[in-house]
Parts: sequence; structure tokens; C-alpha cells
Amino acid sequence: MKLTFKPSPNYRNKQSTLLIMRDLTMCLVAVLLYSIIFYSAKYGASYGLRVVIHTVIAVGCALACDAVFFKIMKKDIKTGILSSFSWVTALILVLISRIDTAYYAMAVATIIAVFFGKLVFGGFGQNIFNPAALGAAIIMTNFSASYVADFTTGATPTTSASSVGWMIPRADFAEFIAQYGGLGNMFFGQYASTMGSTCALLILVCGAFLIWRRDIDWQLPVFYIGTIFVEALLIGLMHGAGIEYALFFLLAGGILFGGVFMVTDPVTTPVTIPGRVLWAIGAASLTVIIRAKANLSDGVLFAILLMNMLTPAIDKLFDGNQIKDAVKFRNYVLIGGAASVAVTLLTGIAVVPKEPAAAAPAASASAAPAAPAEPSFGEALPMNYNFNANKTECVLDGQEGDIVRYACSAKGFGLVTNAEGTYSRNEAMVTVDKSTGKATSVNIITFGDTAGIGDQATSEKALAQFEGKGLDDEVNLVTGATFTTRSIASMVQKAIQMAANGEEGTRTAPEANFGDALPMSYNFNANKPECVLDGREGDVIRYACSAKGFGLVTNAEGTYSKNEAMVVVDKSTGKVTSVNIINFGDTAGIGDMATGEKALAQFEGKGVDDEVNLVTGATFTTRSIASMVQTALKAAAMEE
Amino acid sequence: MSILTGPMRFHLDGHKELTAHKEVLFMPEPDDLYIPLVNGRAACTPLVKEGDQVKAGQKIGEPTDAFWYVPIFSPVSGTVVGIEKRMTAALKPGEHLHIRNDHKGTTVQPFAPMDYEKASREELLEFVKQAGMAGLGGAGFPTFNKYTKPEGIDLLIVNAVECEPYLTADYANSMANAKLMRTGVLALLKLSNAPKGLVAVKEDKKDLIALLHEQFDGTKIEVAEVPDIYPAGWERTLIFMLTGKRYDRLPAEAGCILNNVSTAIALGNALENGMPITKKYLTVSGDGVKDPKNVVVSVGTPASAVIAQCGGYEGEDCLLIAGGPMMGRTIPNDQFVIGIANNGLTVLQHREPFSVKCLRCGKCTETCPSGLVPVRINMAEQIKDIDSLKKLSIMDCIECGLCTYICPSKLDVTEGIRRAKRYMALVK
Repeated sequence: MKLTFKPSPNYRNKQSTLLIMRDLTMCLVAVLLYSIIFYSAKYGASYGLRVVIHTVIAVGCALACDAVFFKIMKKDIKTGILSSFSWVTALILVLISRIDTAYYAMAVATIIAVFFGKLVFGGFGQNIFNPAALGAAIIMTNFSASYVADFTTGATPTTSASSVGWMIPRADFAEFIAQYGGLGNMFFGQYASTMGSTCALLILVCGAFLIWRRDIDWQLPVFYIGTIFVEALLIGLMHGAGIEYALFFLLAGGILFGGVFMVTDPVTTPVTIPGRVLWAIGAASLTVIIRAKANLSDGVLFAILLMNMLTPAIDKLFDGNQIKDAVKFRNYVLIGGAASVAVTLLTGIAVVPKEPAAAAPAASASAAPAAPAEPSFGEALPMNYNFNANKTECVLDGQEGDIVRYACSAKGFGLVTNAEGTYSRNEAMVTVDKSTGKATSVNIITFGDTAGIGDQATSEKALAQFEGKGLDDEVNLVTGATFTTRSIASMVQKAIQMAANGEEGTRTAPEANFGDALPMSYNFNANKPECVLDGREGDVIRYACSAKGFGLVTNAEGTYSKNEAMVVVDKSTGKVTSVNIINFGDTAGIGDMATGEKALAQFEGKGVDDEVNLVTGATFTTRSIASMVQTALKAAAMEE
Repeated sequence: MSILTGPMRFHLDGHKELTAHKEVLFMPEPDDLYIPLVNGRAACTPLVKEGDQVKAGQKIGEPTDAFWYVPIFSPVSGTVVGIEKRMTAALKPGEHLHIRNDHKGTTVQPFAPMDYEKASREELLEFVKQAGMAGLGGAGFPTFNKYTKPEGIDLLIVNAVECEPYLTADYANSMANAKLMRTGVLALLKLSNAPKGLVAVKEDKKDLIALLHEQFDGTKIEVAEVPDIYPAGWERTLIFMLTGKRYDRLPAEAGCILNNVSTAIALGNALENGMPITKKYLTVSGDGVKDPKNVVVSVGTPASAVIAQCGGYEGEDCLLIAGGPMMGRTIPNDQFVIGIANNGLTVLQHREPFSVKCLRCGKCTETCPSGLVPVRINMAEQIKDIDSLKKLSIMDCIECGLCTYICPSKLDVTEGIRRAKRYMALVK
């Protein structure tokens, strides 16, 4: 029997760091399981399996990192791993990454998160940055090209919201939110986002469980999420959005997941309650500012990382006696909190709602080529409606007796009227019977609105309702695609009006401005230009050419836009005689500046040693045309 | 304001069921008693010498200091063997008067009983001083000192909270000596000049609450129930819970005087029976002792004798704690004796917890009843950052132990603050 000396107290709470991490792991695994089930059910087993493989890679790399580190440090590996909790970092990292992240990128990010994010600082408890956030930031900034194209799920709420400048006025909210099935659908997690940020309900239940178990404190998540809600609400009110916008703001992206699992990381947040409240308000404000004004689609990660840097300073600020200095500390929180909210709101004034110009084509490109959903009809739309906002234009395309065909284009879904030409446009062929003044058919040539939503108005059934309709008739708006319906109706109206007046209309190609020089000897391989002999009169040879136009990435064969042109070359001089565009496949209103008379005229009399000038704003199309000219010149030189 | 501060308290599992309702053992007097010549904090000169015969109740030590005035009385009759140096419960060597018990029980009344209702306040105050009344909650502060200047006091608080885990000595004492408690509490109220008094007791002690109502209903004393949290019995927390007031140095700034309920009972015993404090209610509890129970022991009884009366130790490696496990010290041998300020011996089987690095969770900050930031104090202490330590007001720490208790990483947080205090004392 021996009596041991131990300094008092000699009584311990049952709760331990290991138990806290066990609870946290349970919650993360629950979110992970939901993610596996959701992706399997919605996109197929290969997607669910991908989540599992990501998890195995991340946890494996984290544990291996720990094992190597503790081996080198000559410490017991099992004790080291049990007191390092790197698997939690790995799980969080998986859940804040996108499903199309490459496996190797996940491995690299995990190793960086665990090793450079934690172990080099001395291990658990010593790191300044949230390791998982650091790892995810590495993926986002350095491995952005590593996303796997095969696993696409369409635009996430944050990218869609980011493409409209994170501002959705009340009038457009219903249509916007419809692509994610409404706020309720987002709350229950039936949409794709990062792997863990889908089911808001599950995340909130986890948060409540962790607070009840005293594993995390309540001030951090409540002040973080609450501040974001208030700021989003106020900024929304400045721009005509309502409370539903603030709710969308919370549900989209990583705010709830970050609020429950990341801002609550005790290691990288202040230790005092007033410090935590101030930290949470600051992190919330940074999240809103980054979303509203920065290039990133979501701001949670970098808000956390930036605030992590302030943690030591905030700790120092609140050193003292929490009772005796209570008034001073309260004032710090009030002043600091009010300042950061004020800065956020000032930033919010500058928020400009934008047209989803880039996101819409990207979304339509990545969405599965599923048939447009069956439309359901809503309110009536009289055909004599004032469609001025659609800025509709029609050009006579052909005529057979009384049947007149017009090629029309009109502004589609657009949240606000921006500078001329930047919003999405739809194009259609409308045939009108002049004798009756009724439309006979409508065919969509180019659909520029949001895939999966707007295209409900382009289905056969939706288009059929225009047949036999005149200006005194009415059609019905397609529910969820009211903008697109109006866009199409505006074209039908214009065609009927022009047919009645016998107008032909003119295609307006914007005036071209010339920019940098483009040598005709440039390497145009990327355009994959092709030319076919089309006719010859002595030395004058005509080629029918085609070339890839504007395309952001090389997709599967044939999915990028193509331009076609007739190029006439004088073989004797080796110079171009004329260039005519047959088919213009790039973005109307932008690329077609390179197809104007003035722009095409610059090729005349040019050989392969000459140079032309890029048309400002239409450089891709200029190159596309130049590539065809170059190919025709080379082909002509080879001719007998 | 509470949004920006933590609860500054925590509910602990008290394990009080181990001893609360067991029969109290009146321990037979040991053959040899060693009376500490430092009574509480009051150093005394012995009034007897080697070979003298003493009687139970006889005054055997006179304090050397007028402020720290707590005279010593002999618990038994017998022969003075001499003055011996032994280790005290404060882990320091101290002089003890060795008395060999003759088991005759010859008793002398050192002072006459007094009717507190008839006596003047000044007579009563002098009685309290001469009877050697001291704070029995653990501090051993001379009771009369609290009442010398009762100006501005509007509330007497009698502390029967007993928030230390395992300890039930105050509870057992109160249940057994209700009549003496009534006398003592009313006498203290008279001394305090306060218009009313409160007896504070934890809300879960239903039988004690009923007994208190029975004793005090109809007097100026009310029964105040407080929640079962730690440290409900610390005077700052208790005064804040009962009055909503915080104070800087002394409870008198908040208009309050506090005394422990055992002190009140001892005063009642002195007033009614003319007997000083020579016996103590002592809880012996914990999983390291075979038969936990409350015992009544004479001052000067070695701890080993008390443990033996409770069935001896359980387990091979134990922590012997003088007091409760939160604030009591572990003592690596059981030869120290029970003094007037001891109210418990907690024996726990020693198990080292699995400790990891601090995760900065801030639980120590949220629960600290003094509003400190123990995690920051520990960090500043490790790098000996004197400027930060000054800012962190470490001298407000009462070493209640809650930060170590709550720490999920199982670190010795309180000990870190003690080191910081010692370091501050060195560099000052």
C-alpha cells in the first residue's frame, strides 16, 4: 500500500478530449453517410463510391502522416495518433471538398493539412490555422484544374449565386431557387454542393447534439450564423431582396457546415467568450464580404483562415479578469462587432446583381443531356404584351407564298438590365402565315437561359401553344420558366408584326474595334481549322472552311462552338480575295463583332506573312476566322 | 451580460450518498494525541510542560498574536509527554503537544456557559474570542475578528452549503445538533447587528431544509436554497447567488458576514455547555477506504487511526486527501493529525488520466468562479511572461480546482496557476 502525492484537485470530469473527438467523429460520419446515400441515389453508385474513396484516401493519408511524424519524433505511434486527432481533419476536409476533386489532389491536400497545417507547429493544440480549411484552400487555389470532368453535378448554389453577384431581387427569387427545388429542398439537402454541405437539417442536428454534449460552445456557431443572417438580410433589403434571400444565403455553400464543424475548432479560435463572440462576428462579416465582392464563390474557408490569424491578438485583447473587466470587454465586443458589421454593410451597398452570363452556358454544358422537363402552364400571357424589355430583333430568313420565316433573337432570363449585349439571348425561327396573321411554327435555334429550368419553355408542348396564335390571342406562361416563355413570345409577336408590315429587318453587327496585331502565320492548331475546296476559277479558289470558335475548355469532340466561312484566295498572289461568314457559332452580340464587314475586310489582300488585328472583345472569333483564312491560303498554295 | 461570460460554476457528482445517511461513528479516544500548536493559523505558546497532568477541556495553549487569537484546549485527560515536531496537514513540519491519554475522562469546564440573549454584544464577542471559536469551513479564521466592526452589515449568511464532493460532515453535524445550531446562529446574528440572516443550504438536501425550517421559522433567520453546483459554498459565489453583489476584498463590502454552520454549532456548544472545540465531525470517504462514514474525532488524533476505524485502505496506490478532492491536499503519509479546521479525509484510488495537449477549449475560462483565464495563465507561465501574468490577475485565483476538474485534456491547470503565483512572488 502506498500513498501518492498529487497536487490538488484530484477529481476529474468524465468528459475528455478523446470523448469530444469521438462525438465529433460520429457527427462527421453521419454527414458523410448522408452524402454517400444522397450521391448514390441521385447520380448513381459510382458517385457514392467516389465519396467513400475520397474518405479512405484522406483518412489514410492523415493517419500515415501522423505515423511517420511520430516515428521520426521517436514517440509511441498509437498514443501519438490518439492524441493528434488528424482523422477529424481528414473527414472535415473531405466534406468541404467537391465530389469532382481529383483523388491525388485530395491526397496532397490532406498531407498538407495534417503536416503543414498541424504537425509542424508541434501537433494538436499548437496550430494557428484550421488544418482542414488550409487543406481545402490548397485544393481550391492550386488544384483548380484537377477537377474530374466525368463527375459533374451542375452548378452549385454558390457558383450560381456568385455568377449573379450574390444578389437575387425578390421578383426573380422564385425562378432562381427553382433550380435547387426551393428552400425546403435545400434545407433537406437534396442538391449537390460540397460533399458535406448538403443537408442543412442534419448539420443543425449535429450542432445541437455537440452543444448539448458540451463538446463545442454555443457562442461561436450562434454568433457566426446569426451575424451572417442579419447582414445578408440587411444587404438584401438594400437591393430589393427579402428574407428568403437571407435564408438562401445561409443554406447555400459552407456556412452551416463551417459554423458547426469549423468555426467551433477550439484550437484556432480565442479562449474567452467575449473573444469568441468578437471572432465569430468578424468571421461572419468576412464571409459575407468575400461572397459579395471577391472572386471566390464562397467565403467560409478564407474567412476562417483570415480570422485564425487574428486569434492570438484577440486572446491578448481579452486577457484579464472576466468579472472585473466585464464592462471593458463588453465594449470591445460592441465596438469591434459594430465596426465589422458596418464595413460589411458598406460593402453590401456596392453589391451589383449580375447576369449569369458565364454560369448558364457552363451549366448547360455540364448538365446531362436529359430531355427538358414536362412543362406545366401557369398564368395567361397575352400576345400583345409589351415585350420592350426583351429587345427582340427579327430578320427575314425566307418566304414561300404567305408563309414568312423570321430568324429572331430576344433577351432571355435576366435579373437586371445591364449594359447592352451582356445578357443571355435566345434565338428562334418563327414562321408566320401573312394571310391570317398567325404563327405557324416556332423552333428554338439557340437556348441561352439556365438549363434544367428555362428549357421547360422550349419543350414541344410549350412551343406548340404558339401555333395558330395571333396578336389578339394569349398563351400561358410555363411555370418555373416565365422569363424564357416571355422571351419566346416576344419573338413570335415581333415576327407577326413584321410579317404584317412586310419588314425584312437587318442583322446588326456591332462596329468592330481593333486591338493587338495577329500575324497570319500564328499557330492556330487549337482552332482545328479545316477547309474543303468549294470551287475554282483560274487562280481564284474558293474554300468552305470551319474552325473551333470561342471555347473555354476542350470538351468531348464536337461540343464546342464552330464557325464556318467561305474564303476566296488568289493563288497567283497568295493573298485573300474575300471572306464571308456562313455560320456564326460564337456568342451573339460579342463574337459577331469580328464578323462585321469592317472586320472581315481586313483579311482582303493579306497573305500568310502579313498580319491583321484582333477585334477587341471578339479575339477568339477573330482567331477562329484567321485560322480558316490561314488554312485556305496554305491549301491554295498546295493546289496544282 | 451573461452572454459574454460563462456560467462560472459547474455541477459536480458529489458522491455524498457514500456517507450522508450512515450512522456517525463516535471514535474511541486514541492513546496518544498530538495537538498542533498552530491552531488554524494562530501560533500558540504551550501553557503546560512535560510531565504535567491535563484535564479534558483545559486550556493548554495561549496564542501569541492578538489578531490570530485561537487558544488551544485539551480534548482528553492525561499526561503531557512533550513537544514534538511532526508534519502537519499543511505538509509542513510543526510543533505538536504530545498528550498520553489516561482514558479517565476527567473534565474541566474552561469557561462558564452564557445566555446570549441576556449578554451584551461586547460580552458575547469576548466570549467568542476566549472560547477559541474559529472558522471550521477550512480556513480557521478567528471568528471574533469578523464581528469587531459590524457597521453596514445587513445580512448574516450561515454557510451550510458544503459544496466539496464527498464531504458530508457539516450535514451530519447539523442533522445531529439542530438545537446547538439554532443557538449558535442566533448568537452570530446578534453579533453581526444585521437585521436578518440566511442559512444557505443545497436544494437537494431536503431533510436538512425541513429541519432548518423547523428551527428557524419565526426568527429573523431564513432558509436559502442554492443549486447543487461547485463552488456554491465559496463566499464570493454564495454572496453573488444570494444577493447579486460582487465585491473586491471582503464580504463586508457587500454588507455580508459569512460563517460556516459548524462554527455556529461549535459556538452553540460553547454557549450552552461551556465547552471549546475539541472534537470534530469528519467525513472519511472515497473509493480508497473500505468503510466510508462520518466520524467524530478528537483534535490531535492521527489520520492513520481514523482510517483504521473506517476499515483501512482499499487498493494498492491511494491518494490520501485532507479535506475534499477539489481543494484538499494529498498527503503522502497518514501520520498527520486532525486539527480544528479539518472536516474530511478523502481517500481515492490513484489512477493517472490519459492526458493530451491543451486544445484551448476555454472550458476552464467558462467555469472559473473568479473569472480568470486559466488557459492563458498556464501559457504565460510556461514562457514566464511576467507582463501577461500581471494582466491576468492571477492573485484572484482561490485554487478551487474547477479548471483542472473540467479540463478535457486532463492537464493540471490549477497547479500551473500555483506555479505562476510562486513565480510572481519570486520576481516581485
